[in-house]
Amino acid sequence: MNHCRKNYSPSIPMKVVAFLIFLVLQLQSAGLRAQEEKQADIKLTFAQTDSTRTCKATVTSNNISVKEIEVHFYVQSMYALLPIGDAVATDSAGEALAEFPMDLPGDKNDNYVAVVKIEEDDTYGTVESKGNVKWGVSVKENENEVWGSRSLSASREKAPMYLIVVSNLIIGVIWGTIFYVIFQIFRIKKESRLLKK
Amino acid sequence: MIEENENTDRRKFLKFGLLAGGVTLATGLGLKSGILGKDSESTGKKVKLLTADGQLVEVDSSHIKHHIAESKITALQAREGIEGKKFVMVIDLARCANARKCVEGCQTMHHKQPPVEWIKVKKMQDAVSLAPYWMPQPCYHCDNPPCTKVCPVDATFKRKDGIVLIDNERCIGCRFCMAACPYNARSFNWGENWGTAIDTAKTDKTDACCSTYSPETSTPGKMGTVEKCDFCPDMARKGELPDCVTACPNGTIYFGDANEDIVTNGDETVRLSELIKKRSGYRYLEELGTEPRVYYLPPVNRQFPFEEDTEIHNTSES
Amino acid sequence: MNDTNIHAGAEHQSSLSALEQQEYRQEMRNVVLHPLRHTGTLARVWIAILAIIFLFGCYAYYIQLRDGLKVTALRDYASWGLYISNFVFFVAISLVGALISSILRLTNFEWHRPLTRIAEIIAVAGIVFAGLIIVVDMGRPERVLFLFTHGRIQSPIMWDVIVVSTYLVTSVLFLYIPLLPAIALCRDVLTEKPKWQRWMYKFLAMGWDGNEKQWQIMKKSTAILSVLVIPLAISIHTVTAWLFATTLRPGWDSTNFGPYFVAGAFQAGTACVIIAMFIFRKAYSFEKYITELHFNQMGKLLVLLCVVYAYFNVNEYLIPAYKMRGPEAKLLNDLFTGPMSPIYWSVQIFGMAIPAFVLLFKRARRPIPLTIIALFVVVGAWFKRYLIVTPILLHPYLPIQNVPANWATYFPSWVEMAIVAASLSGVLLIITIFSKFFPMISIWETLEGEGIDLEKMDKKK
Repeated sequence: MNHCRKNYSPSIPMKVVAFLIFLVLQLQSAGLRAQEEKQADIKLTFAQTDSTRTCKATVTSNNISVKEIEVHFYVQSMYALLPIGDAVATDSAGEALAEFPMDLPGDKNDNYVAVVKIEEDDTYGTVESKGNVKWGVSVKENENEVWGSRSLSASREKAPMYLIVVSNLIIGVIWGTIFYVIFQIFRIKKESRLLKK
Repeated sequence: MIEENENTDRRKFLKFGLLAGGVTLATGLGLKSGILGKDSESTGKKVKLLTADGQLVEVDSSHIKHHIAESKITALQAREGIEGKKFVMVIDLARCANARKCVEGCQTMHHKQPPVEWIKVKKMQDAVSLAPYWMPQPCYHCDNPPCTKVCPVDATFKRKDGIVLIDNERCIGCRFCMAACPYNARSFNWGENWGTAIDTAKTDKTDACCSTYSPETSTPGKMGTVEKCDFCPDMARKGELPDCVTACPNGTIYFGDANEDIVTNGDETVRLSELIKKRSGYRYLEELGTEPRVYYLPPVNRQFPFEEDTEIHNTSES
Repeated sequence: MNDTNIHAGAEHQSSLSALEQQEYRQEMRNVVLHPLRHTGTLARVWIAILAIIFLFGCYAYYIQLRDGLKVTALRDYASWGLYISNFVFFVAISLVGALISSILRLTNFEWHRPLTRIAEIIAVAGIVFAGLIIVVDMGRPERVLFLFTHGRIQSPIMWDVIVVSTYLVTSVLFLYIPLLPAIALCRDVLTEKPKWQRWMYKFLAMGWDGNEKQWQIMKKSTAILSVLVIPLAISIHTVTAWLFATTLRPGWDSTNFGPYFVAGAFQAGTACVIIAMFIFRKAYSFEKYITELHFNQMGKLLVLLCVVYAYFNVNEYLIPAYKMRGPEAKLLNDLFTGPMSPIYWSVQIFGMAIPAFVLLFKRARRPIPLTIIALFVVVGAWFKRYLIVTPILLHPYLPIQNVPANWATYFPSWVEMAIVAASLSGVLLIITIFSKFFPMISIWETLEGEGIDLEKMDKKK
């Protein structure tokens, strides 16, 4: 017996189930596609006037500006990200501005890294963009100078000069005298008539 | 015909069942990985944490990392310090609730056990009429250290990055630095494996910590030498915070680089100068002129009232 | 013996005839050399006891080396204890060498002459054991050479090491050089002694034969050392005081410490010399040379030093007590009325105030009463050094919390007591053994003070 029907046509419940399955699969891949495809880019521009420093973040997705999306501004530090201000929502042009402090220190080249993030957005997920900017204020104190200078707390090569001079002087004079006296003992021996015999 | 229909029905049902099951499974997996991200190892142990806005949450204890001390640097590097950094700590006395997790974290990392503590949490009450508060006291790594001044053999030294370390290959055990420190920050190794958790020291995964000594790890300790809190410079070289900072459930301890003017307690990151200014930070016994590198934020607007300790700690020597 | 004018200089001529002078010289030599020739039972028992105590202390030190400093009662708070206070005590008594041999000599107090050797050997023995006890206190004594290879000149311990070793060398020289005529005497006269001992005298005598040139050199060297040793002696105890005064602790953070310690050192050392005087006088029959006059003079000196020390104590304790500044208040209350008060008041009253008062009376300056009072002073001085070291460490700025009970107190363990007893017996051993090999009275100095002619040494017996 031929088990295959010539005209195979699914029954209605079967069609409903199939459609449901299709829908679920579509949603899932849409979700995946959302993570892969709906990509946002953040471009950073820095502007500085006499008294203000602003960082502008432009959020685009496939070259279309993204409006009303929250971006967070940070400065990168050794252990963590320092938040700059509160989260700012992009305007109609997809731009968000944040004012950076005028007195934030930078590295030895006066640079620091500004980081702008979209955090756990429903559509775009987490997006991050970094930019090096030479806005760092020089650290006033040169630590190496303090560390390298002579002091009572420093290591033995960096003892204060006055201490080295005075102590060596005193030790020199006193031990010089001691050696002189020891030498006198041998002079006594030399002067001995007993031993000459 | 009827037979065929029956078969078809059964087939349909099976197909439906399998498909439905498969789809559910696929969807479930897909959703989970899509939304939650990668699965992390969980230990099952829960730890309570205080977030920045005063909420108590429970987190798996694997998220509170206990680091292992390791260091492979030269002796000169150990004496000079990490270039360009100037480590500083801020302790928020308004948050300290005597959880003593900082003490435990430090002891775990350096394989120490009670009664030896390199960071101590003390109940301070400056006078009977004044309010009591809990005060964690690590070594302050003073900028005008009374301890390095008096060491006769250069065993304890101040580095460029502000950290004061001890080289226990050089220490002669005269304990002058212990007499000179007005904060009692230093401990002494009175015997072999004094205050050392030998079991954990032996089973530690990285053997480096306990076979290659460096002043930066302060581990293993040596009998007849001095030791103390070292601000974990070996962790700093890896970009990680000291254990006391991350172990505190209340975020009491902030740590960072004063050159960057930024400190963090693992959750919150703030500007050091702003924090001190806003919260009236001060240094303990400032009038002694030691210039500590640990600031305290006074216990005002406390997040919870002061509570006495429920148990007595460190009653015995072993 | 005629009542010598105590302020006579070497130029003073004795009223004795030449023959009488020779008899006097001979008698003195016999008396002074007698202990070198004969050792009585008492002396042997004394040496045996000291040796046993010393050996037991060595065993205790072996235990400490094996197990670490945990065998002491020291812990993180009382990190300096009996060893350090004993060290301070030894440095203190070793100043007396400079006082008697040098200061009194330069100020022409002639009565010091028979006492110089006793003072000097106490000084040498004291400073030797000061150095040894400090190594005992170290956690890693095998690294003691680091002090010389990696020393930091900024550290007060370095200053102490330098000054103590300099003082040791100077004191040994100051003991040895005026000893030369006596060594020569031993070399010539003690012919019955074993070969090695005779060789030792011959070697150490440096060919001394008493000729004009040698006397000149010897006296000039002694004069130089006299001047040198005074600032050194003052330095050793000032620098030792600075081990405490350079810290920020309440109780040590005092500008008074240097002079306070030096004054205490002179007082304690003088009392030690008095006790030694008494013992040698009795045991070696030195009555003719260490007379009641000498006790009288030493008693007056002790009074003066007690009064000066009392003055410094008043400055050190009354003024902080007037203010009762926070951190010091707890410490002072403990000392005045708290757990430390029995020791504190005993030391101050019996070790300082009563001696200062009682010794004003001539009757108290006779040998026996004076020696008893000197004993009180020495014991008081030893306990005073303990009061200066450990109680301050137990009263830090920060409260002591969350530590085992024994960390918050201090009572020495058997190891510490054994080692300290050994160091004390070691000092006594050095003095006793020295007195068996070398004359304890400087013959030429005493004779010189009498104005008796220092004849050339006899070549024959």
